[in-house]
Amino acid sequence: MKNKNESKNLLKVLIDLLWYGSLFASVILVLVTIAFNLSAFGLINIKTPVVSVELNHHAYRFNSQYVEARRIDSIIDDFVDRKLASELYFTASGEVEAIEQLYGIVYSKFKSLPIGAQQLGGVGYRNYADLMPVRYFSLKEIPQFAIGLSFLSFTVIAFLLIIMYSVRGLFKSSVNGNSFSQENANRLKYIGIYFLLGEIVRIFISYWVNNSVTRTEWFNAIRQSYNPSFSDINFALLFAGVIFLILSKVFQLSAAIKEENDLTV
Amino acid sequence: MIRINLDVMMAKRKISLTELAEKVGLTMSNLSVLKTEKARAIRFSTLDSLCKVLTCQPGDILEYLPDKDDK
Repeated sequence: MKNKNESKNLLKVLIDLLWYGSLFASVILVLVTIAFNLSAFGLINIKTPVVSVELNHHAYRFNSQYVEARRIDSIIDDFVDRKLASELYFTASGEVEAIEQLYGIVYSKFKSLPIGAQQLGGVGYRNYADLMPVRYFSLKEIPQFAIGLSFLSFTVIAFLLIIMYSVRGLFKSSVNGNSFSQENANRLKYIGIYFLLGEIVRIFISYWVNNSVTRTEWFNAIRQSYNPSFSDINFALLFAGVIFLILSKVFQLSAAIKEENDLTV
Repeated sequence: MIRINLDVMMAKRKISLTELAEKVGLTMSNLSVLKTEKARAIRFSTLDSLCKVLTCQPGDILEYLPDKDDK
């Protein structure tokens, strides 16, 4: 019997650790987002490391001032004149500082390497396909990027707070043996609502961000736009949200049955 | 509503709560739930042992009172 109690207490401590860790991570994330926004709009000047994020068929590498946007599906390959694009790429002058900051290289040294075997950030590229379509911009140029990314970081923060708090409550009640309660039904309902709303909001925000970036891409004088597609919707999350709502109703019913049973002498 | 006249029968038979709980086989919390009329249902087995211990009929313990809004 004592062993069972000890393992129960250990689980409770672990789940508390998870929750307080998430709280701490959320605070850090809020501070990082604020600092990123201040730097993006030129209010403070801080050097941050380069971060990669993948959003709707685009890979973004960015630090606090510049962004490299690279399309990563093959839909554009048939429409791009690679030789022309590579010449544009290597002679783009407004983007020198961006390339230097994002890859930590000296542009003049970069330019002197033969075209067939460019080294970029320590990674060798074998052909032009690796290089495009790619676009560099400063965060001030396209403010939607910083704003959209802040929204997405708030999504992550909300996920950490809501989900971790609910999971903590669910876990603790199940360890105590009181899973079938109205409180737990409410927790499951909040998780379900968050999954549905969070996913829908995320779809719109990432579409907005990508559209703002790609609307400014010019390649072969073809102005690109970003079309929303079903592959950007995370249907698993939407389905999970629906399932959680159904589960919440089931738990509500079971709470009523349990109360009836508990008060039967 | 159904009124529980357990305390009346307990006084008549001069038996305490703890002794009754022990003889009937209920926990103290369950018996107090019954006594304070918070119970939703009673099992026939419980009613059976209550009547056996208190040597009475179910009607001595349970009493029907019409609700105020019934005609």
